[in-house]
Amino acid sequence: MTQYRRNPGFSETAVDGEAFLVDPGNDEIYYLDQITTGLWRVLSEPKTRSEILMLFSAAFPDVDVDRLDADLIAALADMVARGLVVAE
Amino acid sequence: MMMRMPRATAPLSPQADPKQSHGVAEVGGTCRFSASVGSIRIAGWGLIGAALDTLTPHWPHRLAGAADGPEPVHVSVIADKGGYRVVTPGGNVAALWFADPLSAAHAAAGALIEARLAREPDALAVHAAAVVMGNRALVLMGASQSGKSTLALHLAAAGRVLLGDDRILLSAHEPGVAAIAIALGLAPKVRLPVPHDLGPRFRNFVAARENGRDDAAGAAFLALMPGEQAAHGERVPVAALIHLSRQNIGPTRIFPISRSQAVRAIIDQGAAPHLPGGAILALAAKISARVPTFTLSYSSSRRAADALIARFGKDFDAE
Repeated sequence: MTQYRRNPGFSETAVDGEAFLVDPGNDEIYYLDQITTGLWRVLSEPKTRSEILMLFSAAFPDVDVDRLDADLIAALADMVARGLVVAE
Repeated sequence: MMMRMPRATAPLSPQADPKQSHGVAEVGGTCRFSASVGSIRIAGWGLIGAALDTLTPHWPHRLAGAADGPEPVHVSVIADKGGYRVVTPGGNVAALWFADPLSAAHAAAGALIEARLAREPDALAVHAAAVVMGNRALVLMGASQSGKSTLALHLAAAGRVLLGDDRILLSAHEPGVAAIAIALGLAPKVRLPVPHDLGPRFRNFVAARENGRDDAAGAAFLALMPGEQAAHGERVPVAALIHLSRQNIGPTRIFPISRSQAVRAIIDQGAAPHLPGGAILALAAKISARVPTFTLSYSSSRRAADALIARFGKDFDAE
């Protein structure tokens, strides 16, 4: 089962509860909105997609689980592609 | 949602056509531009000096003489292949080729700003215009076409001192002051023809101060009268940052934005090629924590200028 975790090389600055990250490789700055910041926080410890989905389902009980899962898949793929999150 | 911030890693000057360099020749003396410490030198002044004079009317500079002694040259302009090459040692504008002196002067001005910025600790260059209200600065940030220049010139025509147009240095280094806006002394620029709806006061103000044209860009450079524009290096505490949002239609609204939005706006419009990304982020976060930031949503620059004076002018002018 694939586990996801933060790339510890990225440095974080929190502003108004939202995270700004700096890529140590190319000096790029990333802005994460509240939802994506939540995902980043959750991944301080390695987790599977199912574990993340359970946490998000509890946090957003009014949102359809299938939609949450689809959003989660897209967000994780984007973060992995940009190197913010490591899949292993 | 995740966004990669479009931090300016490009040069502060316009892009050019890269060409092979053969048989270059440097012409025409060295000019010293004043800086916070010492000076910034441009070699090959004779090639683009007249054009650069038009772009930097309030940035003191003079031809260097033998008595000035040796100092490193920061920007070299050389004649090459019927055009001009602008070279900065280790800079972002290295060895770009330009067909005409005005384009080369724009690149040289960008290199000057980079060299000047590197001498200010904890500062970045912001794509912004600024005016002085009372003894504090209102910094108008925005992308190209957001109306920075027009808005700032409306305020200048209404009697406010123009702190700068297009580029302002923002520093959070000085103790006891939230943030400082530092004037660069660049010429304000207006697009031509000046739209009729900007009003007779604006049109007359511009017409009386025109000091050259950029025909390719369809714009005029202005040289403001003594006392109307701050000189290069003038430092004014910042009262507020205004993020411009120009609309096709709709009312004028000024509303505060969150710190996170302010950080994004500063990074989006800021440039500091000498600083790593982490330092730029820290600086933007520091400024956003110290200076109130607003969005100005508007469709009429004349009404927007009136709204800024109504919202900020009374308090600041009374200080």
